[in-house]
Amino acid sequence: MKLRAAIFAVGVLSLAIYTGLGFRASQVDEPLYPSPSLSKIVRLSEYDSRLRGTRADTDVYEFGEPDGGATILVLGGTHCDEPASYIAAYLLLENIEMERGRMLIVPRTNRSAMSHKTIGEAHPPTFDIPLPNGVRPFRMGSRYTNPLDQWPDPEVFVHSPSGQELSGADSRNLNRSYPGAANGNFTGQIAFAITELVKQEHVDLVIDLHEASPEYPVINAIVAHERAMDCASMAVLDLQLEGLEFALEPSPANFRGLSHRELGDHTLTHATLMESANVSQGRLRGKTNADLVVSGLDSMYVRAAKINMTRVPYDEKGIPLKVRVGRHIAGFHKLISAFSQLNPDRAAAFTGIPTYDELQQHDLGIYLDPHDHP
Amino acid sequence: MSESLVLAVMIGVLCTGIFALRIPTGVSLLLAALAGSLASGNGLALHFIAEGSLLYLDPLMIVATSLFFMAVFERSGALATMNVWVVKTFGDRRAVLIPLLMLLVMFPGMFTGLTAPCVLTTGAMIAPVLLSAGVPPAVAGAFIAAGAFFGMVAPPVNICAMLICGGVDMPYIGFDWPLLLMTVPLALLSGFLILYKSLGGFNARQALQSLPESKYDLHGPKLFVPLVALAALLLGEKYAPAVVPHLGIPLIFLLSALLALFTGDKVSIRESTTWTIQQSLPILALLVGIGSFIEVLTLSGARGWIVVTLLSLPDWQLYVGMALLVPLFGGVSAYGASVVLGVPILLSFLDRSNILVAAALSMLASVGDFVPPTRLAVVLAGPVVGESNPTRILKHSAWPIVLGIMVSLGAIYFANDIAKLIGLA
Amino acid sequence: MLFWTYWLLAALLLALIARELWRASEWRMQLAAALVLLPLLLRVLLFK
Repeated sequence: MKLRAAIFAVGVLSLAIYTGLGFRASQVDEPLYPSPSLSKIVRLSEYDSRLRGTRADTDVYEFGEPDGGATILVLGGTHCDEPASYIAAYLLLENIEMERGRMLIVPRTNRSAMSHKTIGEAHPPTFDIPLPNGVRPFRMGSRYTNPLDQWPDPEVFVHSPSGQELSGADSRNLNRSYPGAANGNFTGQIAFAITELVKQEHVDLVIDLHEASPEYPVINAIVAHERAMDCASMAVLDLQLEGLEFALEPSPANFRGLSHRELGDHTLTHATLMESANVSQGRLRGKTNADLVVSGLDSMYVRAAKINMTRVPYDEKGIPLKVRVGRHIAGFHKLISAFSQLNPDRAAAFTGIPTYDELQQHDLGIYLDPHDHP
Repeated sequence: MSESLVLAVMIGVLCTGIFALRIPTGVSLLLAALAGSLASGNGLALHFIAEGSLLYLDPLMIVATSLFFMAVFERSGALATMNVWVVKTFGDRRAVLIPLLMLLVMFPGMFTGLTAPCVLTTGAMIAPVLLSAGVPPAVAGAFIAAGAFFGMVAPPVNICAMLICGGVDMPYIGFDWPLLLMTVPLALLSGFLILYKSLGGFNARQALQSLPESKYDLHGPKLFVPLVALAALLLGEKYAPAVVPHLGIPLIFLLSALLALFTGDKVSIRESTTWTIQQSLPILALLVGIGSFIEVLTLSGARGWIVVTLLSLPDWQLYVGMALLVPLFGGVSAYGASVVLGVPILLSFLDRSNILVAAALSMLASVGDFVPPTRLAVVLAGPVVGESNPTRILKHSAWPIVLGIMVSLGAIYFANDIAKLIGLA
Repeated sequence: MLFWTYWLLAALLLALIARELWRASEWRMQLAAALVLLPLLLRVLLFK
């Protein structure tokens, strides 16, 4: 009896340590290789010192100088189970050359969410992007802040300052926590720091990169705050002229906590957000693994498309990561060009970033090859 | 192996474990998860088994602490005192007693969105009243499980509806009236239907003899301070967040239990904790097993197969499919069913009132708390009423299940008409 | 602060369940106890 208890105890302890060390590995940041045009890296805690030394203190990469051109902020990895969001940000920061204006890139906006995976979603810990010689692994993270940083969840999350009620888990959802509060919870502090960054750096244009399930209504879209509507509608028209279907969605006024709504309302910036279609976060998906993340091909979604359950065209070709990243990059080009046309005195200019077609032709690995960055 | 076959293997192993080998349901769920990961070509997938085990860590702590609260509350003499008062005051008035008891059971669920606190606290409080009145344990268990089910769905806090809202980016606003109309009348009706026959020969004097004696003369009103503190902290967190800090339900139960150590008879902490762990262990294991089971269901693609197969059903078959599959998935986890099935179903009914459809789906998913493999509400009610066979309780729970499913389907079908009637559209 | 309070609560539960694993005579109860230890260990050891 005691022997059996001892065997069970040793067994469960071994299992906890064996799997636990695997979970720990997800807490280590993969290296990034900023382009030579990098002017400095600051930490997010510069904008809210309470984040210093925590898992949410993340790098803000700054390219270019304050030269009268626009200051643009790109947010990747707000939700870290939306890989096109942070892979697009990585691609931008490893390739961009600023010619006019300033580019701030936060590739892991909720770095705590990148350090674990959502329980119950069975996402792979990592996925590989093929390079010309070999592969480069990237982590798959979570939509939510790591519970090791914020626990327990309340039963009901009450958004501040609006009082809107959401399920308790959304208290760890950064994109329901804007504008954040100085005395808020941990996720609210991250939101607060980003809001402060936008204010203190006088950011003109925010591009928050996201993905959504193919069955979700707001998809393949640019969402814009009222102030950014002109800029976003011009960008969407341009994208459509180039054959890329994008919808223009006004930021809903009655749904609070989202970056485009709160950054638009609480700062002077032009707040936008982009969505691409990611089957690996969809509820209709079949087998969940690293292949699914990169290929975006899923047999269940092929069936779902046939019964009109998807809001984007979907067939046996799937929606690969390079297409989703390509759409974000194309949107990035067009939003900045539209902003520059509408505000010629604050125009921004850059080189080094591929077009959508170039990205489809050459694949992601060409632009994410660490060997190009000695 | 195809997704549907993997699902068949998982269900097969689960049923073999529970019914043939008679091992705890939680362990059977874990074995089914292991079988599923092997069958789907993922090897033993220990990483995912371990990850899934944490899915319901917070509810696990709620079950353990709420049971500890009840252990201390009972041993302090407060429970018996309360029951004697209820029987003396309402014993001769069934028409008042039944609704009162039903609303009492529902109460914690309305503020936690869970069945466990209902069954284990107010359910456990009223159980002696029912039993002393000659109600058979299985019937009393069904009454408590029904109250817990409707309490979980009733406003203001319905976690299933919140999860569905979260999945479609819809604020949890406007749910109070639809949920109230869907739950309270059904709860009262179910209460009468379950109890009315058994309470026929209710004799207040006889009931008083079989209840433990009141400790009111010895300790006075301070006996109920822990209960008042519990209610104040639970309600305060929601309605006066500026005054009452966010403590979380487990801590609220623990603090109230600690208070109960000083407000009545002397309580042995050691004996109370041992009792709590022994009583809760099968349920805690169940919550751990469910998490691993769901994780592998997702990993193997069986989860997606269930959703797509359901949504592929045409017209009326879709309603039959929802009536069967949503509670059945809810039998593994009501929250899981809300997220996995509730969200896509809502997205396929976007032409109907979203609030009504989401409210109805939350009730349909919560019916899962009656459904095997977990039968959570029924399994929890077993020890509370002293009924060792949960199936016997389930047999008496037909009314809340049937009424819950019918009203949910009706609310989806007539969503727009109802929304207009109650001023939502 | 709240995090560490809950960490302590989880650690306490872990200890009580480990004690039950040690004292239980029936293998089914022991197995159930071992299963419940898994998530508690992962959280208390700050792995997940």
